[in-house]
Amino acid sequence: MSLRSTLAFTIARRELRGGLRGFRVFLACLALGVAAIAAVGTLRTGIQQGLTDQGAVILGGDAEMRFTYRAADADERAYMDRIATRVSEVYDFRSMALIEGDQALTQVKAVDDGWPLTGAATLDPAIAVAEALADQNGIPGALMDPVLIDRLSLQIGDTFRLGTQDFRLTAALVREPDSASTGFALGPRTVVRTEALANSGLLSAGSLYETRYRLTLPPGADLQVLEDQSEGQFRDKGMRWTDSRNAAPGIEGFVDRIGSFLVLVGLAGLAVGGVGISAAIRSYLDGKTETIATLKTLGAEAG
Amino acid sequence: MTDPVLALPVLALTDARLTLAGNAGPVEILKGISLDIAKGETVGLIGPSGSGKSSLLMLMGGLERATGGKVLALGQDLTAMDEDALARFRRGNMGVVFQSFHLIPTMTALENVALPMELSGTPDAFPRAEAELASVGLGHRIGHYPAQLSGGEQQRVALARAAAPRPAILLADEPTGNLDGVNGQAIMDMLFGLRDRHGATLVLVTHSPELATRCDRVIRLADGLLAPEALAKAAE
Ligand SMILES: Nc1ncnc2c1ncn2[C@@H]1O[C@H](COP(=O)(O)OP(=O)(O)OP(=O)(O)O)[C@@H](O)[C@H]1O
Ligand SMILES: [Mg+2]
Repeated sequence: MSLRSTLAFTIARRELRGGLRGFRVFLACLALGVAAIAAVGTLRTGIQQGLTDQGAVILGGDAEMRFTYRAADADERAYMDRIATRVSEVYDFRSMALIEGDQALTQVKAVDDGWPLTGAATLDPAIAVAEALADQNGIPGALMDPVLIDRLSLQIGDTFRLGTQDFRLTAALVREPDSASTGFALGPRTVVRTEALANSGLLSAGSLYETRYRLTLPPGADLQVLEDQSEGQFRDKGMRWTDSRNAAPGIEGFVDRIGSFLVLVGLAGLAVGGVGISAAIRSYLDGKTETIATLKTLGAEAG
Repeated sequence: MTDPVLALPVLALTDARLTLAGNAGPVEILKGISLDIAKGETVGLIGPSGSGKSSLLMLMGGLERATGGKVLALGQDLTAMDEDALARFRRGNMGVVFQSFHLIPTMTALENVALPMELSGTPDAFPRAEAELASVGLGHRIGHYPAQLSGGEQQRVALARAAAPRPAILLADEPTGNLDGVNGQAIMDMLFGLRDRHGATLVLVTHSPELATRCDRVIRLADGLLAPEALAKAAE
């Protein structure tokens, strides 16, 4: 460093005794804005990567055919059996879980032996799904979201009713692998076997329910071709197709919207920070103008 | 004075003009000032407010550039220098004291006084600054920041800062204007003392007739021009 620049540095350092106080808030705004935008980007990428990677698990199968207010008919079942190596049928509907003196709204998932086709359910106690849902002394087993268990103050082994059918709570459903693809749920989850509902009166004609058929496809199956083909054949009959390429459209849309919103927040932070910084610099320099004028009077060169 | 170099005026203005851009068009502030000031001379600059006294002082110090005519200081043409050349010229050659002291608030008294010497690369800037502060009676205040000093003390620091590099020319613009009588008197005594000790040429803007009488010569400005009696005196 030359003598001149050493002196300039010395003078600058003395000047900084005044501190950067006025800038702190705005620097924080800038840092937050940048951090928010960066974080949102990372988060969004992460979530989307996860959705893509875990598409089949989230969906509960490589592909799903969905019907409203009815189960698949024989034609449709035959078609599924042809294109898929495994098929699992899930009924989804709202009902009331009844106990003596209390009741609570629940979103019931009635499953077959195949569920879950992909991923695994986490139960507490950690028993197998088949064991948990099996009949015991003529009463079928059921899984419940811990929230619902708390709400109804149930203990493992207690019974409750769905419609006219009794069920025994065998385990808490700590993690449901295909919960994200189910879409809008009005109540916490209860899982039972479809067969056990035969006498409940809940799945009779006129009930509001959805059926979802999760398909495990042979390796190398072309999802686009299958989608086009299935829709061509069954769309008119109310079939809707989803596959692991876009397993949870609701979540992706949500992440996109939240992401955009947070980026907006970040940008607003940056804008506030930027405006603030420029104002702060202006007032800081206003404060320094006299110092600069004095320095020049004393023989300081501009550069 | 037989030595031709010594006989040269320290400050020589020839038809110096200053026009500044005001809000309502250009303002003619100095309308042609011709004036010589000899080495060691003490000149009092008086005149009504707004007559251009400060502006004339700025012109002499190269702090304001003449928009017409010539301003020579120590034989050098200030009107031909660029900003940086003027800044370099001021170091060591000019000491300036203002009515409002213009100390740098983030520097201590010692650093303020040492600054012009640091700028001109004087190696013993700090010991000299300390001695200079002692000579204005502030030896015990060297570590204080301007805000911790009284007005009179601040002006003494400013005086020490102007005098420490031993400039050939001292310019003072109402240096006692912001001070009470006692403090003003002390500052004036110091200013004249400095001039006596170092033989500097002193140009002093003042409103005080009493102070003006302590000067070798009094120049009266009126409306951007030298008043007739000053012209008459200069012609003698
Ligand atoms: N930067 C500027 N732009 C425009 N006009 C200016 C500027 N600076 C000073 N003036 C004007 O120039 C005139 C002379 O100003 P100057 O400060 O030299 O007067 P002064 O004799 O020192 O007055 P005072 O005794 O009040 O200090 C004034 O009318 C002033 O308004
Ligand atoms: Mg003035």
